[in-house]
Amino acid sequence: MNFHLKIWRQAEGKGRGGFQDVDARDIPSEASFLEMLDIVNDRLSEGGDEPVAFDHDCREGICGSCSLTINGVPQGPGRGTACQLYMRKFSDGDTIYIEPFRVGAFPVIKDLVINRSAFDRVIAAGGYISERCGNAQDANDTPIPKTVADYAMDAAACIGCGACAAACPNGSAMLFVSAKIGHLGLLPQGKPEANRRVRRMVAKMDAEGFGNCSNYYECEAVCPAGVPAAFIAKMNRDYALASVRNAVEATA
Amino acid sequence: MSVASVYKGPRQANPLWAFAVSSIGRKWIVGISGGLLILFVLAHLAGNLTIYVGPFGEGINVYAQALHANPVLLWLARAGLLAVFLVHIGTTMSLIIANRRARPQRYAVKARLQSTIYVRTMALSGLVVLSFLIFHVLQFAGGLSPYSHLYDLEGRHDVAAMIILSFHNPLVSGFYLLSLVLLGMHLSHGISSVFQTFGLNGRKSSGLIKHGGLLVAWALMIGFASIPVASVTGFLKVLPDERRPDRKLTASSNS
Repeated sequence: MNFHLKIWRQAEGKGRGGFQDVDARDIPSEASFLEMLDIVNDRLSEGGDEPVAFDHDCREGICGSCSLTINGVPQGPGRGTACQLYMRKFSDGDTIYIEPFRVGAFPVIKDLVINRSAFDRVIAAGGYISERCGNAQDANDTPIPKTVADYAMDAAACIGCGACAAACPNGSAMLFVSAKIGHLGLLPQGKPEANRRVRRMVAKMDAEGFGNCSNYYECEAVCPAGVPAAFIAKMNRDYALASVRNAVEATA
Repeated sequence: MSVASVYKGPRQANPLWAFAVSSIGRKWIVGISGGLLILFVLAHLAGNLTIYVGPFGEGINVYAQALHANPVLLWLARAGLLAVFLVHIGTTMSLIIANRRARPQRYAVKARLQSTIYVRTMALSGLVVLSFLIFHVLQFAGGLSPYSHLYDLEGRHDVAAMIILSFHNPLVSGFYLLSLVLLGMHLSHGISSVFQTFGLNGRKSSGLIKHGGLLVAWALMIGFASIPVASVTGFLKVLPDERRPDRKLTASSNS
């Protein structure tokens, strides 16, 4: 298969980037999108050109390293990550735009590689549970209803790739943050710190410069893990309740 | 990571202030003010529909007289409504500015996935509705309408005649209908968004809230639009001039 690629090239974070036209010829239809880029990079290197920098790791859709916006869709068309996208999804002769995730809080490092440390700092602000040390607890010591466990798992499926923030016209990270708050807050182990967690993670999310949710729900449409936007509603409620509780406790 | 570098959370003196200026807190403020405006729109429609009571729309004259019975309460309500509008618009603008900052660079190609036309046009529909409201208030409450000095058989201000005769001008009724469509679009996103912002939108209820919000928005729009349509088509009739108590203040002499 042959494709006309328009690949975003940016030498360094602050520099002005632009699109490079690359003709990708004789690409096997069974190649994944990243494998197609590997082939393109091999040819660029052979011709003495600088290969395209892009993020990748597991290439099986679970690590969340992929960060390509393909024809305007973060993680590319269809549900799943860019590494799980195969070239047979496209038609022969297609023009494909490849851009980095465009979020103010995710500065471009080079070409298609962005710095998503802002997500790590939001997690460090409260996306954990403080567990006791010692021996592992018996597996069935803490009963959790199956429906609760399943719903928590819907949120825990988040791989932290950042496609939600990249798809959001407001550059909002609320699907990611609400997934982490929701997944921990639904389970008994996460409940003791739930109020503090939601306040701190939302405050850190704001401080990192992410936008606000206007209920476009584009995040839900691109999320490779299928996290529903109902978790944002839960976060809105949890945050308001935690703030009121905090205000009452501050006066007591 | 050392313990010292772990983020310790916000340090604002007042926790409620911290909430009010946070991203989610400002969403709540937009949602609460928007919810109050939706309640006002519902009450306004209920009041408007009294124009269908009586052969010459006297129902709305009675309703208007009752509204104006206590000027202190009326002006308090108007001031409150204006405050809610200003809070809704001001907070939304602060969110829009923050959102623009959060997305400094646009995509060369932008695909639309599942966002509705309503959410994408919220700022536009809001601005058109705002400009309509300024015209609407000046026209009917501000007395700029050429038909605002008519009285009915009971000596009440003939609000029905003012409305119906104003709508006989196709420019006026056309602008009303256009603005109502944009209000319908604004509420198509707004009503369901209030539930999402308050966290009342769960897995099971999201479909109901989405479709219910659309239904209520367009039902409201049709209810309001029925009055200009009924005026233009002659379904709503005006008290004839020869029966007016004060012959100097007739509809024809004002037009």
